[in-house]
Amino acid sequence: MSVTGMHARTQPSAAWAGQRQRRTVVVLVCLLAAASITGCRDAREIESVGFVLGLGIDETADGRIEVWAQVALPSAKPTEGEKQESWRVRSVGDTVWDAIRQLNGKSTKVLFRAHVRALVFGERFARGGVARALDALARDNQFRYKSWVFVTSDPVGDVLGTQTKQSSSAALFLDDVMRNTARSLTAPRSRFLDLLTSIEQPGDQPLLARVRLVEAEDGGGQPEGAGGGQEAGSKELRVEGSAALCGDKMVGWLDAEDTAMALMVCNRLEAYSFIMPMPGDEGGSIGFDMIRSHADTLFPEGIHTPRAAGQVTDVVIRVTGTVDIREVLSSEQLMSVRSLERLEAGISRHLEAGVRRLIDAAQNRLGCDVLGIGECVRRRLPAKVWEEDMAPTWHEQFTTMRIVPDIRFEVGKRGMTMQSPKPID
Amino acid sequence: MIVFATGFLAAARILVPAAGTAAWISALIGGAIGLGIAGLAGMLAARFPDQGLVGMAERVFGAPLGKLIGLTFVAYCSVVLGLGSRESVLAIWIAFLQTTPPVLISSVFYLLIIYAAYLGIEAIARVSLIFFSLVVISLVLLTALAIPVAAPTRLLPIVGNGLRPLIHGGLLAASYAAESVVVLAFIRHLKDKRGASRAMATGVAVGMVIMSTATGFGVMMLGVRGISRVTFPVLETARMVGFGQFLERAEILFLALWFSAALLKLAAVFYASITSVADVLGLRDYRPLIIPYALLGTALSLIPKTVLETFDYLGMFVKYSVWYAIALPVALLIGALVRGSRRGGESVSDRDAR
Repeated sequence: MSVTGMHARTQPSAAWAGQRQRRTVVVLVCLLAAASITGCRDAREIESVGFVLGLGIDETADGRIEVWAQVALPSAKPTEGEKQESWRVRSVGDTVWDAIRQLNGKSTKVLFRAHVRALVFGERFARGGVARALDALARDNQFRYKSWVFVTSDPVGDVLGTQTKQSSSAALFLDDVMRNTARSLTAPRSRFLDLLTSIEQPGDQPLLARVRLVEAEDGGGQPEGAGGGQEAGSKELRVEGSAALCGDKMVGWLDAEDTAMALMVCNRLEAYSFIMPMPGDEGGSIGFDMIRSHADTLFPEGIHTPRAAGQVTDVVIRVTGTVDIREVLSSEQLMSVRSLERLEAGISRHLEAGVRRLIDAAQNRLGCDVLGIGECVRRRLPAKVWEEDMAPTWHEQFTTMRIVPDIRFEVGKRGMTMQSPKPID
Repeated sequence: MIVFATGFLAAARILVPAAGTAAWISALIGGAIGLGIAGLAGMLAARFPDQGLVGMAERVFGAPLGKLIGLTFVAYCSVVLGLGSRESVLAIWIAFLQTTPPVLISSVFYLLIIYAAYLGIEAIARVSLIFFSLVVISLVLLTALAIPVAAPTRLLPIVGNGLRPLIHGGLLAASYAAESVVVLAFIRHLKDKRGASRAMATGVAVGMVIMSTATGFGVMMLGVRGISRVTFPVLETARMVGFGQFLERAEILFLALWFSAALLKLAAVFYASITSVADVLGLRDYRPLIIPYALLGTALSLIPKTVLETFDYLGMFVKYSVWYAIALPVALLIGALVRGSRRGGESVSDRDAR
């Protein structure tokens, strides 16, 4: 073998060895990174994790904080009939975090809060101020701002413990209701994020969905959507109406109709169904689906100027929209232009009466701006004027201002038939 | 990527307290100022197409003063590197890897930066080409998913806290755009040197539009008060979006891409620093400086002990650094005009590039 030939063979093999060495180093670095960075040394199997689906927070009679967690139990046999699908645990502490940390000691699983679907506040806690819970939850890197928030006047533990046929747990049932029945729901779709952003704005006070325990109706008569689906003979969950908050403290309840009016005035009503007496002398009733509505808050001239602080004394809430006729139980079949105009005026009057009731409740009973009028003022003013001159006294100003509803609705579609089927006399 | 890759994680926290609901406009004003800085840097690059920043400074002001200017540039890059890496490490540590020591995350970060710097600017640029499109796609996707959760009325009043705060916010935002001056250290490696100005301006424009969009959506989702409160607004935005019930909790995917972008940005800044140090010291090869400088960078990134300190330092940096980024190309251009300097010379990274 010549020296040149040996040299030629040695050089590639040295380069190959170098390359191999480099690859080994890279692989070792990757392995080291994978082992140290991913946290695999303390990895948890799915069976050892308790997925918290619902969190309930209330205050005891002696002023302590009680927290419930509804925890899903992952199983290798999810369809097994007698298998318990979720488990409820309660703890009591001096603060919300104190109670939450004590939950961990009561569970054999590591409680994981990234899947919380429903956060339910008890009325006593809500009246005392929900801010006590917000800090601990907002700091939590697991908890999601998308969770639905409810207030209940019933025992929170019972609400979370309600058995449902439609979902495997009460929290999932509430999540399904809020996601899927938005168009038939007379409750605000209140998320944790909305609560966080609105408690700090005096002109946009939060409305939180109300969940109640009601006697279950008989099996065949289960209504679809928000109300039904639980075992007959037991209590069932109903999401309807709302809790009004002033700052972080609950100040009262709004029924389903008031809540729908509040959502309509704030442009957050997705759909609303209602039945009213047929206007005129014919008698009977007529049912509608509100398919579109738009609210404008009208202020006096000059509201844009920094001197506006004392000028917001008269406000007009103008709502326009369209309703579809869904049911007519009357001899009046609305076959003339005049009868339709009379109907539209009747609808507007009916809704205007609803808005007046809401305004009265907001100004006199609740004493806080759940109509979002302050938010409309804030958008029109320089930020400094709102923050320094108006926001601190907005609640007082709101309760004394004159708010006039101006509702104008028109009739849209009347369905697949022009007149009601008429039996032969 | 140099403009937005690390800054956009927390830019809204700095811009919103200054400009209020108009923070997104202040980001665009910052972009306009950044375009001016990019134009100046482009003119400088056109005047000295074969020089790094230290070479330019030495040509204009002579060796001693040129080296001093080079050292100030290295200090600027070091602060960008230290704060940028700290911010990225904190975003991962606080939100995801809570039990991993931050020094370990930082070390892995620097290991990758070292590797990128060792391979040189071409490797960094080529990988950036791949990741840039992925990062942009991730941001477009995030924006699209954020639309249903966003409340556009939260952007009103349109001028926020007023005109003066808006301009103040613009100057703060400009400091992010101004980070594009780092490119001066390696702009000579561009194939088409006549396009340097345009390339930098495009980078600044795209980066600041991304930052403006991120800030605007942050305000629309969290409100002015909310955004000033959260630690990393963009991360919080990513945590809130989802598609139906089957694409949820996907923020880790976003962060993985953004982490890669941050890594590439910091690798480029790291490369700019060490080649400038090598130029100042007159070294033939910058590679012996990689390890010592990486140790320095790691130490720098660990100086702020808490998140609060990090944001304090960041606040100070964005307040003053824009003036340095404007002064540097302006001084060099004026000096060059006065002395009539043009072209010539060779620096360490030219030798390396050959």
